[in-house]
Amino acid sequence: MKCKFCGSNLQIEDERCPYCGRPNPQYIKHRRAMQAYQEDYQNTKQEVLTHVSKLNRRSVRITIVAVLVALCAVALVLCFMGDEIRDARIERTIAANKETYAEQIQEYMAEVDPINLYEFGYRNRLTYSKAMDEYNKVFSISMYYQYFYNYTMELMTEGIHEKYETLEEKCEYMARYVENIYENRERQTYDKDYCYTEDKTAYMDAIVERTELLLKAYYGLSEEEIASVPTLSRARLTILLAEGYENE
Amino acid sequence: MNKRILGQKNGKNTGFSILVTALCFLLIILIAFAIKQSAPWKYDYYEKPSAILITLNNGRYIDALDQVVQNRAMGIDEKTDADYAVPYAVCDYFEAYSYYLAYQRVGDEARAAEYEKRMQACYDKMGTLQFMAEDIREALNKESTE
Repeated sequence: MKCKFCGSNLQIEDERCPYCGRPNPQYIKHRRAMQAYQEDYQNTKQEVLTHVSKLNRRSVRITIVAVLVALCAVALVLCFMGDEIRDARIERTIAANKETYAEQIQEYMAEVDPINLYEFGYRNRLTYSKAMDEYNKVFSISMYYQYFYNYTMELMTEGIHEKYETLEEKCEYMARYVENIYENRERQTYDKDYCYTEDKTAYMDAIVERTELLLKAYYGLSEEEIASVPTLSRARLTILLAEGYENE
Repeated sequence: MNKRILGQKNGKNTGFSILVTALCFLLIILIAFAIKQSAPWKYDYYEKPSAILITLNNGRYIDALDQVVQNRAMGIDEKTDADYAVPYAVCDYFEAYSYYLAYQRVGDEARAAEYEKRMQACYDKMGTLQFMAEDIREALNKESTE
């Protein structure tokens, strides 16, 4: 631009003309415009920063809440799956100690000690373990023998607690256990080979022999009656046991 | 900023804090419950020698034998505590006698003799409770005493 007094070249930022020294009237307008612009700029900048800050704060809060809700959902799923997780952990422990457990079971089988064998399996959670599935029938027959032995000894030493049970009820339970002992001894088509190896069948035969011993000694069953036990109905066996107890 | 705006801002902060606190609390409870559910629990209950002696004194031999069997399955025996030796011996005597009597009744002398040896071994360990041997024989031989 030109100075209006001397005509020399002038910048808009010059407050006075560098040649004649007179004041530049455009400078004041320019300065005001620049100040207005600066203020406007600062205000806009502040607004943008405030708006972004609010957005950031809101986003952070939403993210925090979303993460916490997701974690709660995962924890809830884990709660529902707790049983499966626990069973998997037990199964892993059993599989890791399988040889030790098998050794102990073999000892009990060699001694024909069904009561301690079953309790050992039960307390160590082996009885329903997949890793110890080959001993499934051994545990089963041992369990029923334990129940039969316990009920027999209870009957012999304490008699009937008439307030809670009758002789027929007790004998019916025992008939059921005897039935189950014979059933477990008999291999079914769906039973796996490893459940009926030589040592296991020998053990199960010994348990059947013990059962027959108790039936003869404490219930007075004859050889013929013992031989017919696997084919008798539960009701008939119940009657035999009850009559045998009363006679003995 | 006036107090109303300040109050609103504080209200929003308070609401958010309460929500986060509640969610954290819920998360801790759920995690604790999940850990409890998935932890393999152990059978760790066993009977003390005094409890087995009380059962024996009440004449409940088969219940006492059950207690001994459960203890043994947990690895609790005379090596764990010497006080178990006598009650365990009484229960073993009971079991041995039940089979001795059974084999005698069916006429299998050889097996009866085996169990008689076991009975003797248990009797020797019964200490001050040796008198229970007679009680056990009476309990299982009820018809012969009547």
